[in-house]
Parts: sequence; C-alpha cells; structure tokens
Amino acid sequence: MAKPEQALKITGVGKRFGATNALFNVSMNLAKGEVLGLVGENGAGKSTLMKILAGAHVPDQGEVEVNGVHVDIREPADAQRAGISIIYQELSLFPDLNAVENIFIGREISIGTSPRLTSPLRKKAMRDSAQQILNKVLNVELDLDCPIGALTLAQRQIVEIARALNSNANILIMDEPTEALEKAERERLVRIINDLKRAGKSVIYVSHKLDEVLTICDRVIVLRDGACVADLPASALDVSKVIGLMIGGSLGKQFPAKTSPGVNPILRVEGLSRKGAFQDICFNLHEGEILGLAGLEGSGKSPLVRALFGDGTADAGNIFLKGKPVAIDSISSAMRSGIAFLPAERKTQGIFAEHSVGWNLTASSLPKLGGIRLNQGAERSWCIKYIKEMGIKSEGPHQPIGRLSGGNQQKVLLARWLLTEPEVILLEEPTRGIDIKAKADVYQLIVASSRMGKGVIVVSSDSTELIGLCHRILVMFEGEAAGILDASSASEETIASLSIQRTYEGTRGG
Amino acid sequence: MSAQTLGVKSLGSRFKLSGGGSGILIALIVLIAALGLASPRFLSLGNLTDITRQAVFVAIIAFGATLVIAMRGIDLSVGSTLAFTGLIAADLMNRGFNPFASVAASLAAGTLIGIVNGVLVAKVKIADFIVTMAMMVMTRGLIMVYTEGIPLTGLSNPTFQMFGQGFVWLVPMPVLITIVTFLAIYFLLYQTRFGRYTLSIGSNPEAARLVGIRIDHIKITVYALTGFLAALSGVLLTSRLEAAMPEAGEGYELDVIAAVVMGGTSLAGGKASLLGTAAGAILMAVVRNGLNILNVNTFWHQVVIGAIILMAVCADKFGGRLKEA
Amino acid sequence: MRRSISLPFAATLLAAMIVPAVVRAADYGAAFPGILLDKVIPATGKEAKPQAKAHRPLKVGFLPTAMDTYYQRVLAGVKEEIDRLGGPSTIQLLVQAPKSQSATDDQVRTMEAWINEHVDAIAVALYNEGALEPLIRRATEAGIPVFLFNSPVADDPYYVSDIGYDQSDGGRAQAQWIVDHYKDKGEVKIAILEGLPGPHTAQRMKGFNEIISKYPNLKIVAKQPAGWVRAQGLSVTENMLTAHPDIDILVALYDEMALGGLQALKARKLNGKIAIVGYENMKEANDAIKVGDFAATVDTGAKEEGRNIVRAVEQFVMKGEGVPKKIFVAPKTYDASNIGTFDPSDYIYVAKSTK
Repeated sequence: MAKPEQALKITGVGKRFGATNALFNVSMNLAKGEVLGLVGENGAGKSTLMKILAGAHVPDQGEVEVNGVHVDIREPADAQRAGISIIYQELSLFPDLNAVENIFIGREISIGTSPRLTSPLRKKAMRDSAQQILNKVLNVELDLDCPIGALTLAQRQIVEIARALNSNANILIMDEPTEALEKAERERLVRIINDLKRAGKSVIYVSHKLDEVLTICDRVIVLRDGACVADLPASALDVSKVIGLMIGGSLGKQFPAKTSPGVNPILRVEGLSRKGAFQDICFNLHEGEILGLAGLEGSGKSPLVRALFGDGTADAGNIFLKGKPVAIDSISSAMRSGIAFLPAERKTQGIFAEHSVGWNLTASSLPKLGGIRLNQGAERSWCIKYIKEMGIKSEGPHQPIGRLSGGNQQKVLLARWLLTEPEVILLEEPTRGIDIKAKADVYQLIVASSRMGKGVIVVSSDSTELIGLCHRILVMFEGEAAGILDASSASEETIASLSIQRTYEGTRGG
Repeated sequence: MSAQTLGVKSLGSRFKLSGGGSGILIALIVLIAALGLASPRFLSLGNLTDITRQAVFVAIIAFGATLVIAMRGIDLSVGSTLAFTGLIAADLMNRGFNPFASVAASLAAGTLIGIVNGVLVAKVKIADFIVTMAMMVMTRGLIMVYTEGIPLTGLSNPTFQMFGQGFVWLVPMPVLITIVTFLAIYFLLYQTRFGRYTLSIGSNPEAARLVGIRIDHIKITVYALTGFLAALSGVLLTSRLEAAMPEAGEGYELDVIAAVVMGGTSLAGGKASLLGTAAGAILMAVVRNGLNILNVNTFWHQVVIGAIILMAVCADKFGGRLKEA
Repeated sequence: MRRSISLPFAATLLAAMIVPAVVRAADYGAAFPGILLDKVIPATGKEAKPQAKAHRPLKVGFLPTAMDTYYQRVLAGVKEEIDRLGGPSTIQLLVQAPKSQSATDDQVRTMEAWINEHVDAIAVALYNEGALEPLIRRATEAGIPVFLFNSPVADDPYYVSDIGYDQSDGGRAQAQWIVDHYKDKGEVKIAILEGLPGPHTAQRMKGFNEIISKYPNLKIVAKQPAGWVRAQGLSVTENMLTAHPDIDILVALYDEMALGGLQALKARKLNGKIAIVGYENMKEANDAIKVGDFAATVDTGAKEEGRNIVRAVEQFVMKGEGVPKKIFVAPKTYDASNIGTFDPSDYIYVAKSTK
C-alpha cells in the first residue's frame, strides 16, 4: 500500500496557561482523505489543540505543517489561508442572512477585477456556486433563500460545512458535531463525512460519543492531561478500551476520606419534571451526603440542579426539605429554604470582578449585615476569618476579586454560600478551570461542609471527581435518571456506559 | 495649592472615589484656581453661592442617574420629567392648593413616571434607551399640549418661593436640599443593601440574579428614585424662576449623563462615584460661570465640556483596567 | 445672478407697481392702521397675483416658528380679525406649530401638506435666511399667496407681503429709552442678554448699537447669549453681576430672559436699582413695570401683527386687491410713565360676542 499523502503534520506542540500545562509535546499526522477521531476528558487538551489549529491560540512550542509545508498560525486568517476550517459547536452563522450569503460571507464575489467594498455583488454567480457545493459535493437540498435562523440546526451545520468548503478548506475540524442532532440527521452527517473523505478532504472529529467516533473515524487519538496517550486505528479499539485510555491512572487525585452520611433525608425529590429538560426525577439526599450528578451536556443535569435553586422551575413533582414540602418558585424562595447554588461559569455568573473580596463574599447574605445600614466592620471580620480558614490567597478583604486566581475566586464564591448557612449546597462544576492544588482545597471544603451535616449535590462532567468525592452518583440521560450508582462500586466505565453507551444502543436499536 | 490637594485626599478617603472620580476633583480644583487668578471676583462668596445654585438642578438629577448608569441603564426622560413635574406644582398652586400639597403631588408624579420607566424596562423588558426616549418625547408633548407653549406664572406664594430662593443661614435652600439629597443617596449607595444590589446588577447581572437579588424590583426602584429626583429638581427650578417653563430641562438628559460620566462612573456599570458626579455637575456650572465672567462667548462651553468628557473617559480607560483583568 | 437676469422684468414691473403704490398710499393707511409706509419695498413680480375668491370659508394656514407667548398673542389678533369678517364660516384657520424653534423641517412638512390641500393662503413665520424658500416658491406657483410674519429676514422674491415690524426698530426703541433717561448721567454701564445667534439677535443689536454708539457715556460692559429662555437669563445675569457688580442697566432682547434676570436681581435685592429694559411687553414684564421691577419694555405690536395678517388676506384674497410688500408698524416703548395707557385686553383673544 502506498503511503498516503500527509495533509497535516504536528510535531511537539505545547501550550501552557499560567501554572497549567494544557498541551505537552503533542505530535500527530493526518492523511488526505482521512477521518481522525480526537477524544479525551474535559481538560485533556482537545480544545486547546483545536484552537491552536484554528489560530485562536499560539502554541509555545512545536511545528505545524500543511501539505508538507511549514505554516505559522498566529491568527484565524492564517488558519483559513492554510485551508484549515473549524465547524464550531455553537454555530457561527448570521441568522438573518440566507444560505448563500452565509456561505460567501467575507469572500463575496463582486463585479470587476479588483473589487472595492462598494462594488456590486454577483449574486447569481454566488448562488450557482453555493448550489454546486450543496448539491454536488454534499448531496443535500436546501432552501437557499430562507434566512438561516429559520432552518434546523442540522441544516445550519451543513451550511457551515459548505462555507468551509467554499473557503477552500482541506482540513475540517468538527467539534461535537452530533451533539444536538436527531438520529436521521446524524446519519446524514455520517454520509456527508464519507463524501468529504472521498473528495480528498481530511476531517478531525472531536466528540464525547465514543461509539460514533469508532464507527466514523479511521484512526483515533486519545489525549489525557495535555499529552497524547494513544494513536491507534479505530479497528483496534472498542469503547471500554478508549475510556480506559482516557482515564489512565488519573484516579489517584487527592480526595479527602469520606465519612458515612446520616440516615435522615434532608432533601427529597419526587417525580420532578420540566418539559424538554428533565422527567420524573426522584432521589433522596441525606444529611452529610454528597450526591454526584453525572451526564452529558444536554442530559438535563444542569436544568435539574438549577430548578432546585428556583432558576427555572419544575412543572410537576414535589420537593421536600427535612420532610416538609417546599414550593421553590424563585431564587429567593430557594435561598429562604436554605439552598445554596454555585454556578459553573465563575466569570459570567459568579464574581463581581471589579468589587472587593469582602463585597463578593457577602453578596448573598447582606441581610445579615444589618437592617438598613450595612455593618461593614462585620463584613471585614467575616472576610478575614474566611480568608484564613479557606486559605484564600489575597491582599485582604479590599482586593478586587478579579485580580485573584481562578481557584481563589472559587473559594470566595464557596465561602459566599457557606456564609448563608445553607442546608443543601448545589455545586455546578466546582473545580472547572482551577489548578490541582486548588482542586484539592475545594474538595476538602466540600467534604468539611458535608461533615457539618449539610447535603451537597455536585454536578460535574469529570467522572473521576464524582467517584472520588461523592457517596452516590445519579447519572442522567436525555432528561431521565438513568441510574443511581454507589460511588464505592461505581467506575468511570459504568458512569460512561449509563451516560454514553445508552446513546450508542439507542442509536442502534432505534 | 498644597492645602487643596490635601483636602482632596482626606475627602477621597472619607468619601469613596472610584475610577476617574479623583481626576474630576483635581480638574475642578485646578479650574477654580485658574479662574480665581483670572478674575478676583470669581472666588467671592456671592459668586460661589451662585455657582452652586446654578449646579443644583443638574446635580440632583445626576445623583439618580449615577445609580441608573451604575446599573448599566440609561434614563433620557429626566429633562421632560423635570418640566412636567414643575408644571404640575405650578398648576396646582395656581388652582389654590397648599404649596406643600402641590410639591408632594409633583414629586409623586415624578416618581410615577420613574416607576412606569422601570416597569417597562424591568418587567416588559424593553430596552431602557427606547423606553426613556419615548417617555421623554411623550412627556414633552403633553407639556406643549397643556401649556400651548406659554409659561405658567404668578407663583407668588412665599412658602413655595422658599424652596428655590430661600436661605438657611448663609446656605441657599436649594443647595441645602441638594446636600441633604447627596448625603441620602450616598448613604443608600454605599451603606445599604439597595446600593450593593444596584452596583451588583451593573457589575454582573447574571451573578446578581444567582445570589438572589430581585433585579426587577431594584431596577424599578432606581428609575422611580430618578423620577423623584427629576421632580425635586423641577420643583426647585420652578420655585427659583417663579414660573414653570414649557421648555425647561431641554437637553438636561445629556448634561446629566455628562456630569455622571465626567465623575468617573462608567457606562459599563458596576461602579459609581457619587462625589465625582457632584464634582461633574459643579464643574459644568463653573465653566459656564467662568465664561460669563470673562465675557467669553458662552458657546465655548459646549467645546470645553465635550473635551472634559473625553479626557475623563480616557483617564478612566488608561487608569483602571480592572474589568479586563 | 438671478437678480441681474430678472432686472429688465423687474424694472418694467416696478414702473407698473410704484405708480399705483403712491396713488394708493392713503388706502393702505386705511386698510392697515399705523403702517410705516417708508418701510414698504417694491414688489419683485414673482409673487402670487391677487384674486377675489368667491367660495367660503377660505382656508388660511397659520404657521409660526414655535408656539409661545408671543405667537399666542399674534394668534389672538388673527382670531379677532377673523371674527370681524364673520368668523369660521368666512375664514377657516389652520394652526400648526413646530415642536421647537429650530424645527424648520416640521414647517416644511406642514407647508407641503397645505400646498397639497390647496389652501387659499398661508401665513408663515421664518426663523432663518433662506428658510422655506423652495416651499414658498412651490406655494406661489400653485397659486397660493404666502404672507410672512415676524420674519427678520424676508429675502425670497415670492412672498406677497411681510407683516410685522422692523426688528432693528425694536433695538432702537430700547436704546432710545436709555438715551432719553441716561444721556446726562455720566458713565452708565450696560449689560446685555442676547438670544441665540441669528437674525433676530443680529438685527435687534444692530438697531440698539446704532443709537447707543452715539453716546460715549453709555458703555456696554458685558454681552452674553442666554438662549431666549428664563432659566439662562437668571444664571447668565448672576454670572455677569459677579464680573460687573456695578452695572446700571440690564438690557434683554426678550422679556423671558429679562424676567430671569429680574430673579437674579431680586435675590440680591437689586430689583428697581438696576434698570431692566425688556423687549416684547409680555404680561409679566408689564406687571413688573407697574411695581417698579422693570424700567421699560418695548411692545412690538404682536396682536396688531395678527390683525394685519388677516387684513392682508382680506385685501388680497377676498377683495382681490394688491397689498404693500411690507406691512410694518412701529414698536412702542412702555415705562412707568405710560404703562397705564396700555389696554390689557391686547394680551388675549376677546371673543366677538363679549366685545
């Protein structure tokens, strides 16, 4: 067999963000007409690698070659010139423009040999060319005149692929392309990828859906902790093998010893449902218990935990706190009932960046600082106390929180909610984007509050974290509770199979 | 000069200055010193009293607008509200109502306009710019329909005249009212939950919602407060002129925003310098007064104010880059 | 350019017009009481032609630059004169005012609507040079005569007649009052509140300076714009007083600003000590003269202006006779000595039935 021609070659690429080594000495090849799967846990370095190829990040070390020629990708335009195009998860189209306008955005065909910004457009030529790409290359029919916003997600994705092809891209990076697609649409996408392959285009396919990756791709690269741990033909792999490679030996993270939870349920949820988000969820949370909530993006774990905090209420079902039914219809009613919630997006949903640590700390317990006039002395002394207890590294209560590291910000936010003296603490991705040391500190703090008899629910996409931290793990799939696992007997495989494999079976069986 | 800089420092530590707030105070002091050198009469007690009396109408409204802008909002309706409420006070007085009752009704009307603004912004979720612009033109239109362009005069009631023209000891009544308003808003903004919540909404609306702040309640309250203050300013102006002018307050919305922005409050929200706003309002009156005294064409006023706004915003941009950090 | 081309025509027309004008000067005096015939200028020949229209009511558009105290008074004169001619069944009055002084575009829209509606005559006040000229031309070409009122600059060739008074006469009257009372009093310091820059301010100041400059003891020490409005009249006067605490006379080119100035004087107990010379004889200014707060004000004959508009329409459109190109009356100065002779009904519209 003749050696296939190389479309892309990466050698020794590395990237560092502050203390974290996001990507370390990664090398890989991509042949023309090849579909390469790229898998790994959250934070394993997939998105960093993609962003380097797309020109969003500049690597610290390493080289990129396209078609055997060295390229220096410093900004998105460089990537485009090199023929690399990325199909984003959150589609980057203009909803009010139609398919033709979207496909040609930024590369419009104008009348004249050296057209100016104000030269008239050759609309017919653009339309024909778009039609050609859609019908001949992708084999799809699409309403060319309809604003993109009115098309389905799958159709928009096709427009995005057509746009990439129109910009002469030879390497297409697809980031979780089937995440939001129905079964028939997924099958069409698979067919399109095969068509692209035949047309000599190369595809890097990034997904959590390992079964899909294995069926679609020729070869799979597994990243873990920023390094490439496997580069094998898909035929040599199966789902559990890939999961094993993804997890590696990373279970040895610093988790504090668990104490056994109490017997009294502190929170009971019965038949909680909201149309289109989650259905018929039932569970008990005991005093001193840490319950994990696992599942893919879109599985309903986030809407469920937010519903418990009154942010988007449930349509049906009951919530009991310490045996008494409670109506949680707003955030303030949830807070009155003793529920606390730490959102995943620290920057956009958590901190008040320009305000001080003290200000951020007391944001949800201001009524405790006095009826009318705020007792700023008390605020200061609380703040000093928490800074000491939680090991928050700062210049003191007056320092703006925006100047702190992510881990220290997260500790302040955790302290914010502990200050409300809650019964139940809901945590969404409590360790996302913070370094190892701060992670261990946050775990300690979570366990410490559970020891005080509080109930804790942790939503996380990191299975290792859930197994190491929680007593039990509720796995969600398509809005339903796929199962509740005992952490001591659960493995990442069982969590993955509940949240991923059923997808696989569902696709097959349906 | 050194005594004055010292003064700024102690003021700065007593009262919160943020962003470009200290810049405007220094600019104000430099300007006052320069004008004092240029004209010996400038620093006379009488002239300084005049300046403060001229500044109060914009200043009072700007205190409210500081909260609105710190909340990432905007209120364009204040100038029309001022004229409308001044008219209500004058009309009721002319119909023989007690001056206190007339003033109370006027303040209530201003508050009501603010509540309508707030409800449309917070509950119906229409863009604040559009809501308050619509309110601005509607209210002005109603004034013209009612007055047919003729001022309401004959407000000879001495009690009513007290509000705008009286003195308490050496301090003009409107200045005293403005100082009291300043202290009250200062307390609200920096010492109460309401102030914290207002700034939190401007700093990070989503985070504010997730710490249990009733954003809609706060927004409505802030707009209501601003409407109330516009009415208070309207009452003072009407009393000062002994007439309710249909065209009163035209262009105030921009003067008010100018005072707030000059004072160091960012249009991006989250931070507010009330002292800076007061300095901004006074600075605008000082520039006008100075040009009048030096017998310079007062249209230079607009040029100077525009330049100061740009300088203040630049100082803000290069002085504090916290948001990006 | 335009002028030179039309010179031969104009010359011919002039010859035709001047003779009847002289002959009928006495008639004009009868039709327009108090008309200043020396202000009349020759017609250009481009105006609409007089025609006696038979249908009733005639539709007449009245379009001031804004609606305020002054124009309300003009309107009162218009209405009373219409009542004299038989009320709304004779002339149907259409009144539109733009939303602010500078909203010339509002006036344009109104003019266009009236032209399309084929009204029988339009009376319009201009704010600026050249304002509305294309619209006045269109109306004239559509056979609708256009009358101007209170327009300091009437410079287009199409209007039939310019009704009002000479703005510089107003400034002269103010200055003359000062001369009459202060010319022998040694050095006299004068501060002036001007309006927004533009023809109104320029012409009033021109007339004022013409007289004052002849008397070296009358010195203008400060001159500042106060935007025609009371609030600015107040603050600018305060500021001028700081710079010039020793002024003797405060002149304002409009009573609104003068009333603001009075508030400033009152606060310093200087009312009655510094002489205020206003302009327009607004009701409040009139009252201020009676109590000694104002020294004088100039009445520019607002109500008479309104009456003259309707008289011109009567001559031109009902009787089909020519009217003079300028129908100006003389401003009248009021002070404590003659304020009693002013008839307060001049401020308001008095319905015919009660007359």
